[in-house]
Amino acid sequence: MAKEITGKISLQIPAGKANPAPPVGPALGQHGVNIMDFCKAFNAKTADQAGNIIPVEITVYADRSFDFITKTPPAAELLKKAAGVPKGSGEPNVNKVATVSLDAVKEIAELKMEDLNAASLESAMSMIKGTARSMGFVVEE
Amino acid sequence: MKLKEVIIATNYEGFSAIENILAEIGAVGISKEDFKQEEVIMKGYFEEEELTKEKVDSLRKRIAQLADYDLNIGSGEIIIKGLEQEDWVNKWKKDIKAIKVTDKIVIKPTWEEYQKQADEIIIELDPGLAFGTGYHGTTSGCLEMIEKYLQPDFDVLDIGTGTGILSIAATKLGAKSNFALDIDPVAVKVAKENAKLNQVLDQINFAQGDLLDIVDGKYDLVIANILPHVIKRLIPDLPKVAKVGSISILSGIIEEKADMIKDELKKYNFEVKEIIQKEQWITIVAIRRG
Repeated sequence: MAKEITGKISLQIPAGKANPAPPVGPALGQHGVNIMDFCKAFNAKTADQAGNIIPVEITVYADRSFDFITKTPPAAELLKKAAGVPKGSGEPNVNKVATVSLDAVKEIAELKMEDLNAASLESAMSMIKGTARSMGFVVEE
Repeated sequence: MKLKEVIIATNYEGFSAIENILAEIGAVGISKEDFKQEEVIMKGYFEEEELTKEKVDSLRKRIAQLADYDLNIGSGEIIIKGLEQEDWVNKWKKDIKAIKVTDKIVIKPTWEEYQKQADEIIIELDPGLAFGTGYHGTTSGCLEMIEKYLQPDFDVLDIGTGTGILSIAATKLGAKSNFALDIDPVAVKVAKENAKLNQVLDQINFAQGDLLDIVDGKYDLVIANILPHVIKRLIPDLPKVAKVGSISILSGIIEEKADMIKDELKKYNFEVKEIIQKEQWITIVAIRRG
């Protein structure tokens, strides 16, 4: 079929536990996506990964049909993992809580390049560095 | 439980940092919507009592500060609104109505009551995990042409069936046999469910396959609502499955690509019989000449 894409919605949902509560209900409902069909399909696909939070990208087509793929974790989650801290700083300008290496930034940029819609690795790295700094992380240059 | 929805307009450069800020101030859910080039809408959902004034101030401050970290976050506009805890599923259902796509064919969602008129053909179908719900010009263009050209003794081949809608319609309009294919196993599963819902499952042979790989035999009507470059790839093989004098309905063709398809058809001795356009989408009807 001639799938014309109207947009994409990304969410993070516990494996096997999608339900119509926010964010799933309002986020999908506002764009005409069949909420129950998505929940059933997502839960069936991720049932064996119980305990994990699964990032998912839903593609919405012009005739209200959709499909979805599971994705890599968000950049901020990958940065926290690389830095070995559970969360970022509440006051990132004054309170630095962790350090990440340039190698880690590069690795994350490579992984997230497509999601960031970045034209080059350099521009993806600069976005990841900015995100790291906004979390109170120091990037080792 | 009352909810608040925090909506932030940003771009690809800003969304990762904003996603983190929303998570850290306690959003129960976050969505990223990417519907326009360059613009990304982030939405954070909060329980009303959790989203204190301090948290909102901190959110505004942290978003304003993102420029200090060399992030160009685009507009950065923030809208906060109340969100009633609703029955999202029923709200969605209310937006989906029965639609009359051709003179005869009506597509209706499973939950809607519909008073059938004498000469109408009803297809029950809910939008879901496969393309072809009737809401798109390529699907309605094909349905219109199937209704116009199908004869009761036709053997029909449906390449890229999606929801199965075109085969279901052809069967209900009286086709003798139907072979429906899709490369996507999810579509094949959905199509079978839809055929069952419409009581025509035993009259359609559904299979997973890439274009004509598993097709053997000749057909009176070949339908392909796919994409222009895939149709171009299909046309050289079409004479293997299309009887001389048979009809092919080709759709999914954006107007700029129509000439490319017409040229290709001519090359393989297909005569263009009719062309219809719905919005920017073209449906071509062609006859195979000897």
